[in-house]
This record gives sequence, structure tokens and C-alpha cells, in this order.
Amino acid sequence: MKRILLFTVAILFVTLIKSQTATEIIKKSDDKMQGESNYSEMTMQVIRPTWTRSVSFKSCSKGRDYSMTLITAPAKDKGQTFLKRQNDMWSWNPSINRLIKMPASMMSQGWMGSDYSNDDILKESSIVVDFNHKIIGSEVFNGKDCYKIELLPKANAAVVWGKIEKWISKNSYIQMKSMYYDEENELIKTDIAFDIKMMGGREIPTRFEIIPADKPNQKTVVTITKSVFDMPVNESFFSQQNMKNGESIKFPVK
Amino acid sequence: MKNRILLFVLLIVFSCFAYGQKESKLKCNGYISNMQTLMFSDINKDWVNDNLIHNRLNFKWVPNTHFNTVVELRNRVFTGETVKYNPNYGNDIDYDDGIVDMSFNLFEEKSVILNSFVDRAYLSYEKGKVNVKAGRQRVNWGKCFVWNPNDIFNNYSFFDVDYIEKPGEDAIRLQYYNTEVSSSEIVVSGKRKDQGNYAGIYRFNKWEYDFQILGGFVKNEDYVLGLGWAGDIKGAGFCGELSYYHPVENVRDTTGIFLASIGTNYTFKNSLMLQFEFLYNQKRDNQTNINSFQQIINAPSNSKNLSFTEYNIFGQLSYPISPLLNGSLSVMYFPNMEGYFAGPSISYSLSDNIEFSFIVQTFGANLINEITSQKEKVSFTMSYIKLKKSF
Repeated sequence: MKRILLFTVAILFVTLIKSQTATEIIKKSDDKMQGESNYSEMTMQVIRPTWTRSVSFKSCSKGRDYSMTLITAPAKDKGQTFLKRQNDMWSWNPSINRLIKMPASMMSQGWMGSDYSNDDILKESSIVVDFNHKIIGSEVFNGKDCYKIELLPKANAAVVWGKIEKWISKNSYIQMKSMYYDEENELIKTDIAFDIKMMGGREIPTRFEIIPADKPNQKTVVTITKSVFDMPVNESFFSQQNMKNGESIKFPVK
Repeated sequence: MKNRILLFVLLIVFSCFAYGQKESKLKCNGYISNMQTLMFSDINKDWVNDNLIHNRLNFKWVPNTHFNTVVELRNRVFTGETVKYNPNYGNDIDYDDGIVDMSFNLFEEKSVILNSFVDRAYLSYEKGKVNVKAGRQRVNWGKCFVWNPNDIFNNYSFFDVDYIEKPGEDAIRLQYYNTEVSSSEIVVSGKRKDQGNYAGIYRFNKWEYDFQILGGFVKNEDYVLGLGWAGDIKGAGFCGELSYYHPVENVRDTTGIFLASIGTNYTFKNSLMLQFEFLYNQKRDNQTNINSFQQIINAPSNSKNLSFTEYNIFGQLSYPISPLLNGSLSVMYFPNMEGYFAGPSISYSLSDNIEFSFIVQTFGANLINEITSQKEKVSFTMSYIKLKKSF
């Protein structure tokens, strides 16, 4: 009897260690792309068999709670800014001179027809906090030995996914591949990382391709052209006054 | 003189193309569009056919972090039947009630008018938490989408499909940003022939809602008090604006006018967006003295008269039919005059910067016939086909 108990405890303990490790891996890989603070310049291209559209932006964030995004192209959207402070989000459109308080449902709006949503851009949900993590295997992906981790949303988390699977490289904690499933366990999109380079003092992928499961000849490509991590930025940078500067915003980088 | 102005306009257009692309202290952008308008009251009868070429130029000169100067103008070429058959059309277009008249009919012949209109021209100075702007600018105090009782500096028409920027106001504005999410503002505005406004607003964020309270003195006629908010209820946007106008004369024996708009919007996971808004616009007399749709379509005369009827209901749905094709349908209902507005539209992205759109606006109501003084059912439809390139 005692043996069985010991055995159960041992299993529990092992599972506990294992799940902690999974969470730690996720956290390390998340921190890798986030940093305490981050500034990035990127372009997103929506690629379809017959056409392509692209949007470019500069984005600065501090932790998960603060972010400021400025659209730099195309011309018709240039100068628009988005501000996030904790749960409050605003958009500023210079041509109509109007600050709009964005309701949470607007987050699910696609970003100019891409497989990315406002939620992805404003990083509303957190892969660390909003999910339970479990290592489900070990696989080599694109030449990198990876942990395969399953993420299931916590009961009360406001998350759009039913499940996420991530392949995270064992030596550098890079998210090499992510597969997103809906609540019916159907694959929705796959996110693959490319062009791993040193940027802003870190080894990070600088190109991501997002491929919707039901349309394999379509994709959204995000290319990071500049990235700076852990630069000093004050919380007061993320202000309504500053977002109204639009194109003239002075981001806290050289 | 006119030719010189024309030459000057052309010069700045070209300077915009030359400088706009580079990283420079002078920033320039804008768009050019061509819009065909068709109007009829009965599809089987005469149609009025008009064309409008519209070029907008936005200049911003940022010499250092404290100062900037903004000049924005719209150049429009009108041709078609309205120009040809309406001898006063040139005067109607060339209308600017600001302190400085900055509307110019550069070219005017029987069948064509070229008008250049400067709707923003201001200097801005910012230091620390203080910002001062002087000149023609847009003071936007609205919170809701269609009707803005709090937006006391602007009277604009929701139905103007070719003017998203909306007119500016000649004013001096002092803003102080108390915190990252709250601010105070004082504005003094003026008009050439009319009285201006003096007003102040305080905005703050509480319980994840934006709130604003405002007070002022409007056109030497009314005192105004207002309250507005924007926030969300279970993910749905929720906004409201309340304003109360009280006449300055005979303060004690008169009653004021109360306006309230309240709205909500919700975006579904498939990007379908639904929006509703309601406006209550108290009227001194309970009559709706309206005899033409032009009165509905034109901008209201002032911000205490946002609508011709007391109760107004608005609904809109918009949906990306494909990533490039967006469809929307707006409807309004005015119970007091048994009137409606319906506006289906589509827009199609032809490239990153070129967009095609087709917009229909149809109005129907029981209006009083000026000759017979009888109420009769009438309708009026306008449709716009537009191609726009942004740069």
C-alpha cells in the first residue's frame, strides 16, 4: 500500500516537474521575443495567389501592459497610432483628428485581411499566463532539436484558441513552429520561423510565415527589419499626448 | 491674380511629390480621387450627373520637437449638370465662414469650377505637458459615431461621403495633459460674420472608461454643458454624449434644449461589425419643417440642431466579403417624419494605395409639398462611383 502511495507521489512529482519545465520553456521563449521592453520595425505582407498587400509599422512595448504602434505604410493608413495601457486601448487617426477607445471585440478584427489579428499585434493574450503547458515530445524541425509543447487555455482565460502546439528549439528557446487549433480541435493556422539572426543583441527569427490550414496557397509574411531589446523606456512614453504625434513620435531608440 | 494662385497651388502640388517621399522636416501626403455622382428622385425620370476631381494635400513642417506647422487643403474640380444649370453653385462652393476666408474659386466658367479650400492652417507648440495650437484646426470632441452633441465646434454632415477630414475651426486651443490618459483643454474660436465659441473640456479615464465633461458659451446664444463617455460592456463598445443648451438671454424664464446620443458596436470573430446609435434632439416646436432632402443631407446649422426630428435611430453592419472587398449597409429611421435613409456601399482595394468604391444613399419620407402644403411620400437617391489614390 505504502509503495503504491509512494509511486503515486513520485508520478505526481515527476509530472509537476515536467509541467513546470514546460511552462519555463514557454516563458523563456516568450521572454526571448518580448524582453523587458522591445522596439521593432516590421512589414507584414498578405500574399494570395493573385495579389499582395503590405503594411509596415514601428512598435514599442514595455512588458505586456504597455505598447505603442505607428503605421508607416501604406500611404492611406500612415500616421495612425495604437496605444495600449493595461486593458485600455485607443486608436488615433490623424486625418479625422479623433481618439477612439477600442472595445475588446475590435481585437478580433483581422488586420487588413491578414491571418494576423489586432490581438496578435497588441499582444492581448499571453502564452505564458493564459495557458497550461505540457511537453508532449521531442522533434527535429528545420535542423533544430525542439521540444514539442502543448498549450491548453486556462478555464477563465479570454483566448481565441482551443489548443496551440509549439516546437521550441532546445538550445536557444526559439519558437520554430506553432500550430493553432480552434475549440473543435481543428487546425486553423501554422506559424513558422525563418532567418534566425542576431538582432538587437539576441538571436531571433526575423521572418515569420503564417499559413491558414484551409488555404495552403495563401500566407502572411512578417519581416522584422529592426529590433531592440531592453532599452530604457518610461511608462509615460505610452500616453495619449504622445500617440497624437503620429509620424513625429520619438521612439526611445537611436 | 487667379492665375497666380493657380500657379502657386500647382507649385505646392509638385513640391509635395518631390519632398513627400524623403525623410525630411517637411512631410507631405494626401490623395487624389475622381467621383461620379448620379442623383434622381425617380429612377425612370431625369438623372443629374456630376463629376468631382478631388485632390487633398497635407503639409506638416516639423523644424524641431516643440514646433510644428500644418497646412492642409483640398482642390476640387466640379463639372456636370449641377454646375451647368445652377448659376449660384460657384458661390455655394466658395463658402468659408472662418475668420480668414481661405476658400478660392480659382477657375469658374459655365460648366466647370475649380475651388481650392484651406481647411487646416495652424501653428502648434508643445513643451512638457502643454500644447498650444493657433489657427484653423479641427477640434473634435465627439465620442459617438454618427451624432455628436458634445462636438460643439463642428457641424458636419454624416452624408458627405467625400470629406472624412471634416471642416476646421479658426481657434486658439490650449491643452494640458494632466496624466497619460487625462487632459484639460480650453478653446476660443471665432467666425468672420458670426460669434464664436468659448469652451473647456476635461477628459479622464476611470474604470476602463473614457469620460469627458465640458462647458462653454456658444455663439453668444447659449450656455452649454456636456458629458460624454466611451468604454465597453462585455467586449461591445458603448458610447454616449449628453449636451444641454440654455439660452443666454432671459436665463431664468427660458428652457433649454437637451440632446443625447447613445451607441454601441460589436465586432464578431469573422470581422462582421454591427453598430447602433440613437439620438434624441429636443425641439422647441414639435414640427418638422422640412421640405427637401437637401436640408437633411447638408450639414446641420449648429450643434444643438443635429437632426430635423426628435428621435433618430441608426444601424450599420460592415463585413469584409473578401480581404479586398468590404461591404457595408447603414440605415436610419426618423419616426416623426416617417422617414428613412439607407446606404449600401462596397469598397474594393485595387492596390496598397488605390481604392474603388460604390456608395448609394437613398432617402424616403413624408414631406410637406411647398405648393399644395400637403404631406406626400417622396424619395431621393444619390449614388457615387469613386476611385481614390493615396500618396
